Amino acid sequence: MSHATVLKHRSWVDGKNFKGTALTGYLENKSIPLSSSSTVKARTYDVSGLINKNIQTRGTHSYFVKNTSGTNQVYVVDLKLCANLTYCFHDQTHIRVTNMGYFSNNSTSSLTSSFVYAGDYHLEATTHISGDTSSTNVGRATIYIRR
Amino acid sequence: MKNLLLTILLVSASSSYAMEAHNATIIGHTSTVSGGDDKGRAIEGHIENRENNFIVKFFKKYTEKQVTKSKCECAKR
Repeated sequence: MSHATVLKHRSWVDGKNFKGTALTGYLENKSIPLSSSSTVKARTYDVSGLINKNIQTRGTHSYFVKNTSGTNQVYVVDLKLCANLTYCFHDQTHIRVTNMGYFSNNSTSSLTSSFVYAGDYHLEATTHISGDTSSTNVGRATIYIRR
Repeated sequence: MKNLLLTILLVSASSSYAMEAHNATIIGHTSTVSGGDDKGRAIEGHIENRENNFIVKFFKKYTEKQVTKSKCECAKR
């Protein structure tokens, strides 16, 4: 189950006529999953610059987690901003959340990088949450490097 | 420049930004900058809005007794 919460559950047995009566009924796998929920978002933006100069890029990250698991949980929040797929800023936070606790955040990552050659390079911002619930979102843009 | 690997490990004193939380505790935080090759390299990286709003808001709530059985370990660093 993802992004879903069981709010209410019930079951019953009914039915009776002159031919017979329903007596009992139940679900054998009656473990109602109580899963936590999370949402994440990531965005990044096109930039342009010159070769061998510092190029500053930004990513915006937002995330929300609510622990409805019934027990304490630890969630790992990974924020990444990568230029050319390999030049990366990586921010990781471990957060302990008690049952029915929650946390949310908006933050901006910044990565300064430089390029030797002119060309167009990938830029990716990623927001990822893992734990008893997990979510990932990637925002993409382009770095334009000129001579 | 080839195979250049720049790794900066930062254990931050302020571990959250504009965070809202209830019964949540930051128990660890790291930041790294890495990556470089013959085409370029990563130079620096950070979280821009690294204000400690979370701690302020958290303890405000804590003193108002709206939050119980929780503590902010990052505040001790």
